[in-house]
Amino acid sequence: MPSFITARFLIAAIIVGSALAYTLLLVTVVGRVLRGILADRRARAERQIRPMVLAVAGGEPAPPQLISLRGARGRATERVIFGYLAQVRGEAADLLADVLQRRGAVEAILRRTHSSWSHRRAAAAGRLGLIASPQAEHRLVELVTGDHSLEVRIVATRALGKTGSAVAGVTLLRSLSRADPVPEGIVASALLELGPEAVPALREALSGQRAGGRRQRTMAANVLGLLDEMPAWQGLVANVTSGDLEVRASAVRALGRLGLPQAAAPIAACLRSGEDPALRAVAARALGRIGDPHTAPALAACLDDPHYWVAHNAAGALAALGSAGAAELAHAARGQGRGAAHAREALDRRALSRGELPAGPAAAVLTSGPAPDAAGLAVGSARGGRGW
Amino acid sequence: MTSVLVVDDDPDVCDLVTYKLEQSGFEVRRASDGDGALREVARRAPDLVLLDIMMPGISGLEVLERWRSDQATAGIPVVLLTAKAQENDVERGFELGADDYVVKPFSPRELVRRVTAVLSRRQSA
Repeated sequence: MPSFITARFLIAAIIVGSALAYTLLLVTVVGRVLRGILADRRARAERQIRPMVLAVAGGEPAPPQLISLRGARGRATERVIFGYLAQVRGEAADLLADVLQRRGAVEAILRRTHSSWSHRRAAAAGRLGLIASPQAEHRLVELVTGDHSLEVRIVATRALGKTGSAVAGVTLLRSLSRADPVPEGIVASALLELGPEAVPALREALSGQRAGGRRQRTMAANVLGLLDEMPAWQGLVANVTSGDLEVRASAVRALGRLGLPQAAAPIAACLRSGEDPALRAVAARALGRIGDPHTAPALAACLDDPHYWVAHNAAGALAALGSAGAAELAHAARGQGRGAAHAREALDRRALSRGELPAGPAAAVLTSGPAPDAAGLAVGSARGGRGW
Repeated sequence: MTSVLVVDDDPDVCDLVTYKLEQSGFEVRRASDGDGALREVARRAPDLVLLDIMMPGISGLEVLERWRSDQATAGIPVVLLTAKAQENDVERGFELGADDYVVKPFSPRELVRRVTAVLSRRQSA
């Protein structure tokens, strides 16, 4: 190949390369300038809108301008409203959501939930949750039950918890039956946010009449306990004797939260030595919350249990039973071995919580040692603190 | 006029709280972080502080601890602003001497009621 052809080719390549580099540079600079101009415009539009939105959040009627603005200023209006909507609740949230409804924002957001991009669907679901519009519930149910993206289902689950309808409760519980369900903590938070609206679905799930019951019943028991739903106590008691350990433990925990003495006997039956130690530990703790003195003998029988948390929780429960429990602890404390140690520790903790000087090992530390927290007391609190 | 210092790093929250408190007749000053709050209070003590717990730099709880350990600022009523997920911090806030707390998202009307209640409790004490 002649050398002048190679030279020409090289020169052409350099010219084309340079032109491309300059074009790229130009596009970048122009892009940045345009982005800056757009950001300035957006900020200016938002500054103009903000006082009107603040007034609405403060309880003033919405000016017609806020409803009718379209284009860039319309988009700015919605950005500002959503910014404040995430920070407020009650009347202020209702007023801001009403402005969005009147602007027709819900329909536009509903359309965005059909986007092929999962992050757009998730963002739209999040906004529907902020507006908490009944109009959006059907679509949120579809997203929670049918969207292939876990991210979208998580956001839709949270959003559904804010709509406040009984349908949402059923959907949230059913979503637990999926092979790849939304994390249970998120479903529980959404159900708690629904509050009383979720109760019928929770009680139905507890009765186990629906398929896919184990996860749902565990969730139902836990949430009913957290909601202090007293009328559900019989359904919870029925689950204390169910065949699933997790369901039983959740029911016992919930009954402990409710604190009804009617539940003491079925829970005390879970303390039997043939039962799983995890269930027995939960049952002991629940009995302490209920505080029925008739359960003192059953709890005292657990003080020598080889499983630390069973014995520890039983001692703690006895300390919460008043004089009947204290008598059992005092009797056990006079003995030797693990049971006596648990009893002495529980008595010391009981005395300290009542502002009295403990009689056990903690007393020696308190009266002789210069730094009780660094010595004997730390034994009791460090070992007992997590479980009780 | 009763003065309230609003301390929050989120300008939206500051704007909203300022608007609602001014609408209710309070004089409002603002700070966007812990250092700013300490400076504002050193300059002129307000009648009450609305203090966000989670802020860049010095946290709200640390600011509260410093105020409570200083005789000049120990008596300033403080209402904590906290996100739902930080409710455990509220217990620590009460130990440090906070007077009340408001969970975000909040109702602006309820916030004003709480501020008023804390101020009247302090006045009657």
